[in-house]
Amino acid sequence: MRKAHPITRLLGSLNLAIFTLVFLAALLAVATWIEGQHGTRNANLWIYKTAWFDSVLMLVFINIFFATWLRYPFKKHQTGFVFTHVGILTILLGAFWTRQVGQEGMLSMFEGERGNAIVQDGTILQVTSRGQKLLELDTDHYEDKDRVLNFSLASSQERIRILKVSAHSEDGYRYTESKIGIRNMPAVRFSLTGSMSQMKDQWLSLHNPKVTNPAVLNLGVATISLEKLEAEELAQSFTVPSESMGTLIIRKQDTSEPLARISIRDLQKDAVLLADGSRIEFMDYYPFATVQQNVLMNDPEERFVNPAVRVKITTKEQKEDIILRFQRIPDFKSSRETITDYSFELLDAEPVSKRAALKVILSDGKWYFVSQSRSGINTGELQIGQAIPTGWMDFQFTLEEAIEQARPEKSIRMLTKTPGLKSVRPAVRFELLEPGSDKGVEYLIQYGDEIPTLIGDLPITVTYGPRLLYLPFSVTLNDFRKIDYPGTTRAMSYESDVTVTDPGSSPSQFDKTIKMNHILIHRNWKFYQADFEILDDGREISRLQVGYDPGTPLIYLGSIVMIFGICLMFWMSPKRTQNTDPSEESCAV
Amino acid sequence: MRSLIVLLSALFFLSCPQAQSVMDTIKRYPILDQGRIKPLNTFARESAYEITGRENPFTMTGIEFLLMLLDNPDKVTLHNFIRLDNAELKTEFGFPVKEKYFNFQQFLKQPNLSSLFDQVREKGNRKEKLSPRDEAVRKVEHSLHLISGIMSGELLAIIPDKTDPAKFLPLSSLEVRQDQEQMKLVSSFVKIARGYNEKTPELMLEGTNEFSSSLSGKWNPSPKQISQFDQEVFYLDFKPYRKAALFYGFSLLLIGFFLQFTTQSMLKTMAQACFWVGFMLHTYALGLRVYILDRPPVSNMYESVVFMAWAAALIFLITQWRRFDSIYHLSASLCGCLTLVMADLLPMNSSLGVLEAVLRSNYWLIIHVMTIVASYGAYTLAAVLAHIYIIMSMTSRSPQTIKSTFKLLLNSIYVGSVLLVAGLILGGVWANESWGRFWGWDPKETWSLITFLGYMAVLHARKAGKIRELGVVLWSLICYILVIMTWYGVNYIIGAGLHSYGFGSGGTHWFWLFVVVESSIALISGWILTRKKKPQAIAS
Repeated sequence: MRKAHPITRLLGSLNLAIFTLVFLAALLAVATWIEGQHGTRNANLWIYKTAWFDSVLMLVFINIFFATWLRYPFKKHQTGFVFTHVGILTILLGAFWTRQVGQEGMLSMFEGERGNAIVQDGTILQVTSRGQKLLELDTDHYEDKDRVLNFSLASSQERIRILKVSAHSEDGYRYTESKIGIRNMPAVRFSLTGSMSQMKDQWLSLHNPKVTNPAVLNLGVATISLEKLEAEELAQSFTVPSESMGTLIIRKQDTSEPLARISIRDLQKDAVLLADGSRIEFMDYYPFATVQQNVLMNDPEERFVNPAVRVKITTKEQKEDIILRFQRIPDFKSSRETITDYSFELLDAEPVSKRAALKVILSDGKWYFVSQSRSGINTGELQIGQAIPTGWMDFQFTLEEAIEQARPEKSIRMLTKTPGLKSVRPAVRFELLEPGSDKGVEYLIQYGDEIPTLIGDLPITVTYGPRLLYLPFSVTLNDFRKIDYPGTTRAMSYESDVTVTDPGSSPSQFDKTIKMNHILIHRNWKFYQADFEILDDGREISRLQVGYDPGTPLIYLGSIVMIFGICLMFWMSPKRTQNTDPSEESCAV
Repeated sequence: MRSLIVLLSALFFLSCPQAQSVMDTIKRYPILDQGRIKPLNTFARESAYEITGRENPFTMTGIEFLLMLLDNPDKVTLHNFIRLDNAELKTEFGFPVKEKYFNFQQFLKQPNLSSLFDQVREKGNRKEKLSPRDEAVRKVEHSLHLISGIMSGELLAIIPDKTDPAKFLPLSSLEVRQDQEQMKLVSSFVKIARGYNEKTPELMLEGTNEFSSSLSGKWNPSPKQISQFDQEVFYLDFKPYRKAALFYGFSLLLIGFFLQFTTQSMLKTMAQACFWVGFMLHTYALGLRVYILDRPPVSNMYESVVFMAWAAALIFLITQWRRFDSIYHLSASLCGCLTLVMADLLPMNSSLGVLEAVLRSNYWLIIHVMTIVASYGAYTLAAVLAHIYIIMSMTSRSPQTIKSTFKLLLNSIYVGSVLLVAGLILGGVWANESWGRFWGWDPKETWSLITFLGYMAVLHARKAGKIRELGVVLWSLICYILVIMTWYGVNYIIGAGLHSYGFGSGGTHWFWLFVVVESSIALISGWILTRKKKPQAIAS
């Protein structure tokens, strides 16, 4: 045991070791609790990836370092101790090394796409000019206050003021009259008022509904829609379509000539006796049949026009059975049907939707409405500002604005709270300040967008989006597969076939399949299959986690040394483990 | 009346040996369920367990229960066999709280049933915590789904697909309905069910013969698969874990008797023999699971509990080689018996299931997970020894016995710690191989580290002279809470992270009860024992 400065002895003391062990354990317990409550991202942001957490680990390092150093020169019985603690030091060194120069990110690609930009943690507002980065701000760590940032553009000092960073913003559209342009379509603004609820400034438009407001608004109790019709179609839409319950065709098996054609409406009134003595009785009729959770019912939303009829057949021999037929799926038969010598078919049923609806119709430069409710149909010409009773509860419909040739314009709103399920994007409001003045032009930028503009005559681009890191080579996704366990949708494996293209290596191009437990390693960059997404249109996106982790060999080495040391310490010197006299150790305290 | 019918049906089969062999054939029919081709017996038992709470409900076997469900639906839906325990949900449904079993119709008559199911499902999708009542709703939904799926044939994927030999089609599927040959299989299976329900063994035999002969051309299992099927049927009927628990229990009783009343070494030998038999059965059961599923037996909570007990027993046997310490023997028997009984009684999924995608790497799975679970085994042994140490100190056993118990406890902690840290590092190696990073502060790995740090704090405190024997014992009890938190709590209480293939809810009250009981034991016994020691210290 060497003589040492009191501070060194304190830093290497067992007391400090006990303190750091307990403190680190408690801290980590809190961190996992935070992760459970607030998600992995926040746990990283608040604890694991902070400087103060690094310093706690540094304290562990210092403590172990001095504890080992104080025991130098080592005695034979301390071999286990030395191995263990030098092992831990090596592991920590490896971890710090990774923390300093390591990189982590996500590479998302469509099938057939080639990529080399990985997305890292952080949301970056960036100002560039002709590809040159002038300014970068990570808004994840931005405190919500006015802040003026400087950047230099062509040797002059420019200033940008960040007014507000919001984690949520919403896209909206307004419409203006426009005589020119080919993409102009009709749009209307209306309000719906009733004693139960109110709706104001709602737009309907015939533009592409994926981009702007839709043409049909489903309110649950009713739908409101916008249509454009020719004059001859207009008259038709003012009349109630006729309803038919259809006809049931019954054939003896193996004959083409029907045994009977029975109108469902007649059958509803009275049972029918067939020529061969069998009797058909009406049971149910479903104009909008749907099967939900194994129960046959009428679809309350009337989304599927699929009439179905259920009848009871009693043969001459008094055998009974229940037959169910769908008009749209004639081949579908219940597995329970026991009478199989007849075939049944439902034809010509034309149900009419009884749902309440209001249509705004543009025809020949004039606006009309068709309002359908339980009390019947109501039609007429529409005037702006005129309230029309809809017939559903006490709702009144008012047309506020009607534009024949409307052009949509995007409008962004910043939100203070997450609004329900709507997809929202972060946004930043900023000002580019005039030289020598406190005023400037205000802009609003949404995540994923870029704003090109001019300062003086020099072009600059402001972008807002993820932090990107460019790999020194590129990866092409050739194919992505999700393989399921047979007969289930449970994933057995996810696999991505990729091609790596790197002019700086030989071979400059090679193929590899990345899947669970089969990662791609190239130039110390590791790629593993992390996630995938299948879009509505069937296109597949594969997400690869990308990491650059140079400290791993040190960690492996340290681990081996540590485990060897622990085993030595616990079992190779039984005298020490059995001897509970702590006098020798307490010297260090 | 219902139970009378059921009883009669059972009597009918007991009296008919021919029916037994027919049943044995039916049990081995293949079914594709949850991604695995398994014997019909397994599916029937698992379904019966889900619906009625028993694998062999009432006086029926699982397979008989399945055949009963295929009976005339109008009749079956009026039998009370769906188990519901949650009193809150019973009151909500307007069911008598005292009754345990209800019928299908009673549930279907509930006006808001489907919206109730939707609510709970949505809650689950949002990853919200489910209350015991919500869990009960989920269970009811699952039971009704199973029953209707079996009755309609949708869940009975027993018809071999013509193109894909690894695929089976449900009885009700359109493809089957359009194929004459496959319809033959359906009708012969229906014949079996009708034969059972109408109590005509001849019809059953006929159906079975027809089904077997049509099946033989379409499904050609390898000899290994046939033997796996046989073993699986045997495994479920024989219940080797229960028998192992029984023998551990015998061993416990014998050694307890030996310690308390007599010095007959006969008892000692018998206890040892019982332990060995228990361990053999335990090993055999694990081996069977490995053989049946072709994968290591550590993929869910149930399997890890059972493996933990085995590891503890193995560690005991290795460390006790050619020595005998009756207290140690007592602890190991207690540990084995208690864990296996618990695994059997607690509502854990003991079914033979397939692996999540992330776990499909047998090599690393074996090494990493087994090492970790084995460390839990060593720590459990240490915890049992700690309890026994406390009891012995309270009852003033000879200091020498107490001292040797302490040494065993310390040794168990050493074994546990080495295994845990090795498992952690191996986990890091696995993570690096499959996720590209060694350490990512995932809750499960973080809690393993917390556990390790906890035990290390205890060992360092002992070296520093802060705590002595008793302190180590008491603190090791507290550390064992960390083990349980890592093992169970991360998945069930925190519920986040990459080890999410083992998530679930329920049983959290047991966890908190455990925390309270263990902390109070540590606290109260610590208080009593330090008070007891003080006068002695003064006297000496």
